[in-house]
Amino acid sequence: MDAPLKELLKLEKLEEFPSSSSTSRTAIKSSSIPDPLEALLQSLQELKQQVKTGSHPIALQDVAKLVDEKKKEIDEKQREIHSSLGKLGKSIDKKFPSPLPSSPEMFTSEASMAALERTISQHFVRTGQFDTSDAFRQEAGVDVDPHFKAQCVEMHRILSALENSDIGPALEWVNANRSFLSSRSSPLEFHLHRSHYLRLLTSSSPPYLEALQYLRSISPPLYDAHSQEIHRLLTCIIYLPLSKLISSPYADLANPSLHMDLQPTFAREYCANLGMSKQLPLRVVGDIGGGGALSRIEKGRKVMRERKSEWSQTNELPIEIPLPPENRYHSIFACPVSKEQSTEANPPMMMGCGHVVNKDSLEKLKKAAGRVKCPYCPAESFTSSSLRVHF
Amino acid sequence: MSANKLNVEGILLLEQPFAKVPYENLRKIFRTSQKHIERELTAVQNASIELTKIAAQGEYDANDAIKIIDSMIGRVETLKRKLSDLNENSSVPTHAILRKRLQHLHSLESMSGRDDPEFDRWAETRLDRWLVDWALRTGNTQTAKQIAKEKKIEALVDIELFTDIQRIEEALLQYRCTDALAWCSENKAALRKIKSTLEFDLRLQEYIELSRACKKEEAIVYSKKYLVSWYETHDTQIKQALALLVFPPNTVCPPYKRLYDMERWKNLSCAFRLAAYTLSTLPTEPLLYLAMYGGLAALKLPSCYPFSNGTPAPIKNVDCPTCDPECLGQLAHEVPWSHHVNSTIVCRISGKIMDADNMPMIFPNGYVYSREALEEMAAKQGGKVTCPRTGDTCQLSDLKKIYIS
Repeated sequence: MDAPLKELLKLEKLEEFPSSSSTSRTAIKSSSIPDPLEALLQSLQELKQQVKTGSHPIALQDVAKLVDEKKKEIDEKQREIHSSLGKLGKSIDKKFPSPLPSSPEMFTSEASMAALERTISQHFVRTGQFDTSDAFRQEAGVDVDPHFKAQCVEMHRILSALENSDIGPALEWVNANRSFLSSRSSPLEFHLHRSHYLRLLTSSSPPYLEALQYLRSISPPLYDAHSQEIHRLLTCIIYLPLSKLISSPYADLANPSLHMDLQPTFAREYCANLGMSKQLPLRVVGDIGGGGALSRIEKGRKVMRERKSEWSQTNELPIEIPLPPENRYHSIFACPVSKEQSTEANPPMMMGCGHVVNKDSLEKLKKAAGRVKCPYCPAESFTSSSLRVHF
Repeated sequence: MSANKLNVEGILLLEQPFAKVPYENLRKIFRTSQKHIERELTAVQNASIELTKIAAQGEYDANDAIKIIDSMIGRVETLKRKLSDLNENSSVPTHAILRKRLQHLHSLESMSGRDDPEFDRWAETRLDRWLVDWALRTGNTQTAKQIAKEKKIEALVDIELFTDIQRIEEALLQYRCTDALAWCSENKAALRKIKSTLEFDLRLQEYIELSRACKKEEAIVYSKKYLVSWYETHDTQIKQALALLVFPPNTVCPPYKRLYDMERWKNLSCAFRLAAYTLSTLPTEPLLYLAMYGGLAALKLPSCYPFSNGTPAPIKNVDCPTCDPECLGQLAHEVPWSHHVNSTIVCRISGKIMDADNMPMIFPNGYVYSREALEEMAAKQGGKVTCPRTGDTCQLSDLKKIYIS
């Protein structure tokens, strides 16, 4: 974006209009449009005086020339501005080589609109934008499930407490949901205590009594799972103050992300406990779509148009959009032989050798006497001994 | 997308209107300033010619000359004032907005990748921008303003543009063409470039209303003033319009019944909205929809939906956006299925992907899980493993390796 920004700067200089109130600019001799206008005004005022006092009429004839001259100056300035505008436009256009993809009307049915409004209002509530959610409810008439809203309000209360380095509400929640957290082997409780302890440590001075007392009080239940880490928390004291800690083997304990990560960790556990998705659904979909999926679809469409081929009958996308691991929610099995995705009607089957193909492909690989030869290894096995695979 | 790198080109595909809207605004401001200059200075030039004529007479009345000079001074001062106003209230703020937006896009180039917390914030802002754009288009202006205020993105969204469009649309739906016609005259040149017939359609509608009210003489005068100039391209329509005067408003004759139909106003408002979008290089659908189309189509899998015989999908994943039948799952019906030629197997216990480092293992009953998760389970259960889905148990050593590619 360097080029457009440079052009914009040039344009701004050309269009500068020294206002009467800015004293700093009057010192700079900028040749912008007000100058010829000022000059013209002055000449006209002078002329008026001359006529009043009855001077030579020839001055009147000069006026026409003067006006033409000034107008030419102004027109010239306008042309410069116009050309600079044009350059700015061109430099912007260069940054966007492909046009926006055209799209048909989408989500117009009542069911779709309702689902969309529901999604968006849930998004507002979940991200803590309660004022916006209220405004939306008033304008669009979309109601939010009060239970869901209460849960989100609670979550945000605890999150804002964490923002202010107050782990109290979070610990309350941890106590109430201990069994859930231990079933997930979640380190949340330990992280909360660790953060508080480190804050106490770095904001006090030797002999750090308060911090040590805190650590002693919370250690017993956590010792089993986190003994090594608790040892480190104690021994890092020899490297205090903070400036020395950063260049010590305990530098990771000085990392501010230890404290900042509390919020996302807590949010994850809270949402999992309530059966909510761990990521915001709109963000997930928006980030995939806006992150390159559309450009791939457009390229695929262009290629198909050039080849004059039709889309597949199954109304599938023409190309594959690679997804990062955090967006893999389901197992996808594509048969290595037919390249088709497995479905209920065409499930994946494992042959005796351990290789897996779709059922249809298995049928095609059948040989005499109910035997089947694996395309990947020389092993043969019976079709009857093939096992339906559940991923 | 194996690397963490940002696909800047892919991201910018949706950002062209973001940069172009303030730019088009700058062009409009320039055209206005040009109009002012032409109008005032041409008048001054004419006045100066008059002065020359007076001076050539030899004997002249000083007062006459002074009057003309005063008018010239007046014109120049008006021009100065108008240009200064335009600069202060339109040019300078628009420059600032354009700069902010270009810098916002520029910041992408210095980000390290998708993991960069800067990018996370940028993506969050992007979703907020799309939500404001969607809210403005669907008439939820208060919601849009609230989001913009709370997230401090007023410079990054086009609230004024949309409120303007809405104002004119509402006037049209209340059967008034004046605002729309004013807009057309402001954007005459641009409308001509896209060969829009909006102005003609608006004039025709006003004529039809005059005919409906049986104000036949007024209608004829109106047609002479406003419709005849379009004769070259719209002669059939004009002829039909003139004939309309003969038919009463409740006529059943098809072509004239259509002309009297009040539905035309709705079509006019849609046509206006489309023209306004085209002139501002805005897309016809909200950007949110475009992004959702791409995202949903990439995620949509048969596993997300119930089987054709009505039993619910057994593989529903609470984290998968398209699995939710009330929200995004409903919307995903309208997009194509995702296409995969490569397999990716996700462990149902740990949620991790099974690959060469974490091989899939199969139970004797056909259920597959990742080696890591099974080894962890066996360590806690003394060598035994239980299939979470069927409850079958066996020894870790009974499990076999399975090869998927």
